Amino acid sequence: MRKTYLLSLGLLATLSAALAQAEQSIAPEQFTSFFQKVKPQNGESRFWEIEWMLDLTAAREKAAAEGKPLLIWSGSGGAPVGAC
Amino acid sequence: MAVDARKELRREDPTGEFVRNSSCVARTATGQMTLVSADGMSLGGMWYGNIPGRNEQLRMGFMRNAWKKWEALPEEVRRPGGVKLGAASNKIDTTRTPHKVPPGALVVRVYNRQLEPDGKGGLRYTEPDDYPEGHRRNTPRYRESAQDFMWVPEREWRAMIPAQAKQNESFDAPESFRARVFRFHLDPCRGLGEGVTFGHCDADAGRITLTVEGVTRDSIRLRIDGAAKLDNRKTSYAPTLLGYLTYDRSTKQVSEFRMVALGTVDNTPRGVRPGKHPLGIAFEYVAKPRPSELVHPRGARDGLEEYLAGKR
Repeated sequence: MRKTYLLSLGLLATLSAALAQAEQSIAPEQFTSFFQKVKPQNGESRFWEIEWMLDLTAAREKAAAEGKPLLIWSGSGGAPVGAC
Repeated sequence: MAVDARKELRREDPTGEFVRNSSCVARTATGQMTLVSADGMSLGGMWYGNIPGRNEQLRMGFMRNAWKKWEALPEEVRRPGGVKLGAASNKIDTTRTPHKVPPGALVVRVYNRQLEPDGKGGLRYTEPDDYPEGHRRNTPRYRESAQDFMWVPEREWRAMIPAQAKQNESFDAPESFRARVFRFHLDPCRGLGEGVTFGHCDADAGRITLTVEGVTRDSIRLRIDGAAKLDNRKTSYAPTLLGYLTYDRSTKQVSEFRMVALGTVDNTPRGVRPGKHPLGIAFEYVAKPRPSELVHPRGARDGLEEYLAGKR
């Protein structure tokens, strides 16, 4: 039997009617509220406040030209600002 | 700098030599942060794993210590233009550089959000006690919105815009779009690790339909409806989708693409949440991406052409 959920996380309470439908469908009038609540909230993913560069050659040249060190955040499964 | 260590380590060019000589990138998927001078002197680094309750303290400690080493370097290394890189940018191993967004493609941010029933028939954000005992319970990022990117090639999104749009007209999204969404972007593993949960799925794993909801002289607005049943025998996810795509007829460009998915995950990957739990996913078109928002989607990592074509 398919489980049905209502969304009522404080401000999300208004979404309950929409999500009460079969197959957890989202009513159009609840779309924007749900969309905003899935996105990062204040204090989350703060690494996005940094303008990360993705091209190491260009970053190295910029660091040399400006007299700055490079802060390198790396992952062997991909750039950490992307999916991991 | 945010880089894919595997690619940078294997570059056959001066940047690759810089990376190998300075050991400035990770050897593990967990990742690392390193401070390094432009001429390749490592000033310190730290593993980027989760140490409950001490992450901020340890990362700030690393930064302070590395910065002291930077300040102790000779002035000629630290002054603007002091380091000469020679021909570093003239010989680039393009087979190892990051994928670039194809011209005309839409850049779409994708957010995953783990949710829980609130006991009153609703949903709430997750709390530490929602996770099994051990380190998963103390991993704050599991409780936050996780992120990925989706690229939609120009030929594909243009195929979604009817030449003669008629109110309430419905049609299927292109097969390549459906395959890409089902295979890579309704993935409960985002934010948990680099794995791809439903990489074997094809366009027939679900449906995505576009319906003309509004036509004016200036724009065409489409509603996106869909559902999918994704299963790899260990993990399943069965979301429904709702979204909107607006096409600006004067600029002949997309001005809005937003979509959400909501469904139940059975056995969240990596043992993060055994059993059945709701997961929400949101998609948002970025009209003017920042440089860091040009990082390639996880799904494109091992094959950009296959990713864009929706092929396996």
